Amino acid sequence: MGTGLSVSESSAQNNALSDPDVRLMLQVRDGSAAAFEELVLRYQGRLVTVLEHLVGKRGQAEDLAQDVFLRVYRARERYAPDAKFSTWLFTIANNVAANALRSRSRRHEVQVVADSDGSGPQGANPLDQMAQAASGQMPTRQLDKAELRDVVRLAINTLNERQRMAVLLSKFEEMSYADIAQAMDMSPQAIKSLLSRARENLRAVLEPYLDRGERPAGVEP
Amino acid sequence: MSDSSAPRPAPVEELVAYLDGELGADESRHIERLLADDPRVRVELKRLDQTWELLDGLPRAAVEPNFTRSTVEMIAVNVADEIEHERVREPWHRRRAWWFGSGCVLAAALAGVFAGDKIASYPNERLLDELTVLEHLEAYRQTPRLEFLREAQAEKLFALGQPVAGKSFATETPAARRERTERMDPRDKEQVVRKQRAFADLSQAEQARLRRLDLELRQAPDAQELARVLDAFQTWLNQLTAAERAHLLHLPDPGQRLKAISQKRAEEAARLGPEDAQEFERWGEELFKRRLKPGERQRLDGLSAEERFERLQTRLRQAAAQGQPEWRKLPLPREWDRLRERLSDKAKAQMDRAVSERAKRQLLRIWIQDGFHLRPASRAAATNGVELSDEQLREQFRQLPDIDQNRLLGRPPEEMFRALRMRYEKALGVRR
Repeated sequence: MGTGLSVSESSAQNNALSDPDVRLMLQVRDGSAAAFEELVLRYQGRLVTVLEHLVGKRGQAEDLAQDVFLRVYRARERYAPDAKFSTWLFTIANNVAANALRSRSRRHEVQVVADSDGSGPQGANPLDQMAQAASGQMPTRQLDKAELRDVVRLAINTLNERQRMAVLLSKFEEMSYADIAQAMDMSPQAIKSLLSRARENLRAVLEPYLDRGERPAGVEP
Repeated sequence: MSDSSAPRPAPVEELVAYLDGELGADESRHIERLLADDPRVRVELKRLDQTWELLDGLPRAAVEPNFTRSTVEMIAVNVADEIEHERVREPWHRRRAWWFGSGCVLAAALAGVFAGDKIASYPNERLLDELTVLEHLEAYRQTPRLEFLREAQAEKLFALGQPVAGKSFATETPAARRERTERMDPRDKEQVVRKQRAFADLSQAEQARLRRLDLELRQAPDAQELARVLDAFQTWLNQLTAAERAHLLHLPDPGQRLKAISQKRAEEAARLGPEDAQEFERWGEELFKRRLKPGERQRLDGLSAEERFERLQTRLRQAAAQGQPEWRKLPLPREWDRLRERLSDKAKAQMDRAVSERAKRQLLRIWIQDGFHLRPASRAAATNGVELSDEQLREQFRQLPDIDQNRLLGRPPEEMFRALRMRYEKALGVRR
């Protein structure tokens, strides 16, 4: 498939072929530009969302998403339908993001917490749903939406790169451990441990805030 | 935060996997026993779940409308550059092969995806010549030969419109076609131009086949009838998503395709009316609730009706995506009967016709998809509590270009309604 995935059982292939996006990708392989456009349309938002939470910057996330699509297009002739399309796409995204984060750390760039000035998607969307859900859990305290958003972002940013990717694929893409494992080139057992540690870390940051309103360092009152 | 030095009542790893639905039946039962016996485990589970749910509030990125365009253009340029780079490195006698290789053709096709507004004149002669093929492009592509349309008609797969004397495209004169084209609504014109690009993307052989089919149809003794079938087929295909159409197109055998269309049409016919759908939802909610794990049920009870419904929907989708066997089981006979008692005579008759296990499962699947997922309350939730009337939504939908309609239809219903609402608000100039 061009990414080193090794699942090749015929049952896996049959499962993959039931995925409409796999069928679109097969059309791309056969030369359909329209099918490629359709795939870009379907995945661009999801991809930019995950990448933005990974790298913390909207502009860079969009550049990386374009890089991912370029790699998908370049790999089209080698494409073999042995996994769900989304798993394959996020395998590429994982590699692209890992490279970007490595180059950034080589440049000693400081990790920037996602913009809180409304320039990112976080600023563009209201958080009514979240605040509603959260206030339901905490009837004694009315959460400040913007503050909560910052706290959750900060919590995500305390995770290491692998934990963050696994969390984002689990939360945003609702991927199974097996699919995350495939996308991140790890075993499902390793993903289980990784996600467990990630959730403990998230809890360590979020619980004091939930219980007592203690803001983690980096979140202004 | 809990004291980290206190002994752990249960391995967090297992609790997390339990919340994620990743444990097997035995392991789940073990965790459920722990939950029942030990309040510390319940607290632990609740805290893990609470902090995890906060992440639901992290918003999803909404990319700018021109992002797709710039992505596709960037890739087209990139691929073309690579081709050129390779070309200059090649001996001259091989260069010709590069230019006619698939890479270059694809780069040109990609670049052409968004080049529609550069059409020199409308309607040009070529467009007029191909108009009926373009207007029925999807239907023609799905039609291997005219006999296919006759078989579809014999099986009464589509409800045909009333024949109007002299109005069939099959007998339209070139002058009438030109006049009709010139009078077209701008949106229809745009759609035809878009289809012309899609047609140009096809292989030469496929283009020739479609033109031949169009000609054969006009010359057929039953041209009027076939044209009505083709019209109805095209209208039906327009309602499908691009992926659904691609699925049909990928079925190599015309018999298989007819069977798939027939099955889809049967599913459409089996859809529940609003009252039955409501009853079915109530029944489904009760049934699914009984199948939830105790921890999940407990959490569910603390939610509002809308939140409960949203949660059940999510759970249902996850279970379906993961193929969890306990969610695929058929309801017990008494539950089946309980459902039957609640429904109208028409729906009862459908249930009675579903005799085999497979047919019952199929019927429930259709009702879950069309009834449970599309109830008005879910629309309200999807639109942040503000209910838009069906007519408002329909009108909003009708105003969209064909490509956007297909895009929306390819999304889960709640996302589709949310997107429609956003467009509606934008059109009204409502600030959020």
